[in-house]
Amino acid sequence: MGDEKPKNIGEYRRWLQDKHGVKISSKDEVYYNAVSERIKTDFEGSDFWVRLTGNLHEYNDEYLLNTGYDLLRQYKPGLLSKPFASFFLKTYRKNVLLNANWPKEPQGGWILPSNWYSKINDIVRTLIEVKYLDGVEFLIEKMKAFCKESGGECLVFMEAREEGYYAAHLYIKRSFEVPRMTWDTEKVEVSIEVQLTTQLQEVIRRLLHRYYEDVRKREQEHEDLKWQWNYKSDEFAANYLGHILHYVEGMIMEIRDKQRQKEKML
Amino acid sequence: MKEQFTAYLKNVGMSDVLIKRVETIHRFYEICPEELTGIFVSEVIKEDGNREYGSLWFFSKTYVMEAKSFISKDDFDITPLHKRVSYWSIEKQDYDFIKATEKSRMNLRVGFKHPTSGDFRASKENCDFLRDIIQNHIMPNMI
Repeated sequence: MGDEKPKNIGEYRRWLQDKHGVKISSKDEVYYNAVSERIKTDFEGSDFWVRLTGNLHEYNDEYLLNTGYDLLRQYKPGLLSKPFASFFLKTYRKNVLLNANWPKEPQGGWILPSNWYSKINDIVRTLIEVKYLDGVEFLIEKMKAFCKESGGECLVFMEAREEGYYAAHLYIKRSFEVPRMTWDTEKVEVSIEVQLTTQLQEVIRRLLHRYYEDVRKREQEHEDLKWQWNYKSDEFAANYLGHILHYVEGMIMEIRDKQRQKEKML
Repeated sequence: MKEQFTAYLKNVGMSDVLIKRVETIHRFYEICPEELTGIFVSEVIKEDGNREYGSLWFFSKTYVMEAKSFISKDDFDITPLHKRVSYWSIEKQDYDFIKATEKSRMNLRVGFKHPTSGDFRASKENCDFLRDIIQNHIMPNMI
C-alpha cells in the first residue's frame, strides 16, 4: 500500500494492521460497547450531571425573566453513546482523511486502540436544543460557570462550518474507571460532548443527517467545480439551507429584541 | 415573604429564580394596608408539558391584587374585595374539588361589583390551591 491513503474502511482496517500491527475484530467492538456504556452510565449517575441537568430549569427561568421567552424545550437531555461503526469511522477521518501531515501522524498523534478513548471526544454525547439563537451563548456561559465551580475542565467551540452547520460544542473532561480487555479496570480521561443548538437548526440537522454521514464516509474530493457554484448538487441545497436558517434566526432575534424594547417603553 | 407562600410556589414547580421575582412583587405589595394572606399563580400547561405562568395574585382580608404577566412586566393593580364579588364561574376538567391529579385543570372567572373581573387558571396540584382561594377569599365576599 506504501504511502497511499486508504480509500475506504476496508483499506483502513488493512492499513491499521500493516502499519501499526492493530487487527480490528468483533472482539474490539464488544469491548468498545462495554467501555462506552460504562462511561455513559457512570456519567449519567454522576453528581456533576445530576446537578447540571437539575439547574436547567433555573437557567430557563433566568432567561425567561431577561427576555420574556423560554430558553429550553425540555429539561432532561438524554445521553447517547456513539456506535462502534461511527466511532471507528471517526478514527479513519482523523488518521487519514483529515490528516494534513499524511503519511506522517496527524497533529496529536495516531489514534489507536491504546489511546482512542481519550482521543475521540464524543464517545458519549448529548444534545440540548434552545429556542432562540442567543440561547446558545447564554447556556454556554451558564455551563462554563457550572464547570468552573464544580472544579471540572471544559472546552467550548462555537462551530460555524462552511457546510452550514451551526452549533456550540462543549467538552467536559472527566476521569472514568473502565474495564480492560482482561476485565480488570483502568482509569482513562474521556471527554463528554454537549452539543448546543437551536430548535430550527436541529430540525435541519436531522433532515440532513444522512447527507453529512455520506460526506464523512467519502474522501474529500477535489472537484473542479466547487459546491458553492454547483447549484444542482446536493451540497448546494443542503449547505445553503443551513446558512439561510442561521441568518433567519439572527433576524428573528432582531425582531424579538425590537418588540421587547417597544414593550418596555409602553 | 411568608414561608407558606414560598412553599406554595415550590409546590407548583416554580424555580428559585422566579420565586425571587415573586418576592420583589410581594415587597411592592407591602403598600397594601393589610397583611397579605393569600397567594395564587395563574398558569397553564403548554404543549411541551411545561407550565406557562400568567398573573400573580395576592389576597388580603379586604383587597385583591394582580401582577399581570408578572414574569415580563411590572403591571400591578389592586381592588377592594370585601363583599364585592358579584359573579363567578368555574370550568373544570378531571377535578373533583377534593384532590387534584396530573390531569386536573380549572379556570375561574370572578366578576366584581365595580366593572372589573379576574381570571384564574390552574393545572395539576395548583387546582387544590385555587379551590382554597375560592373557599377562603372568593365565596366569603359574595354580595
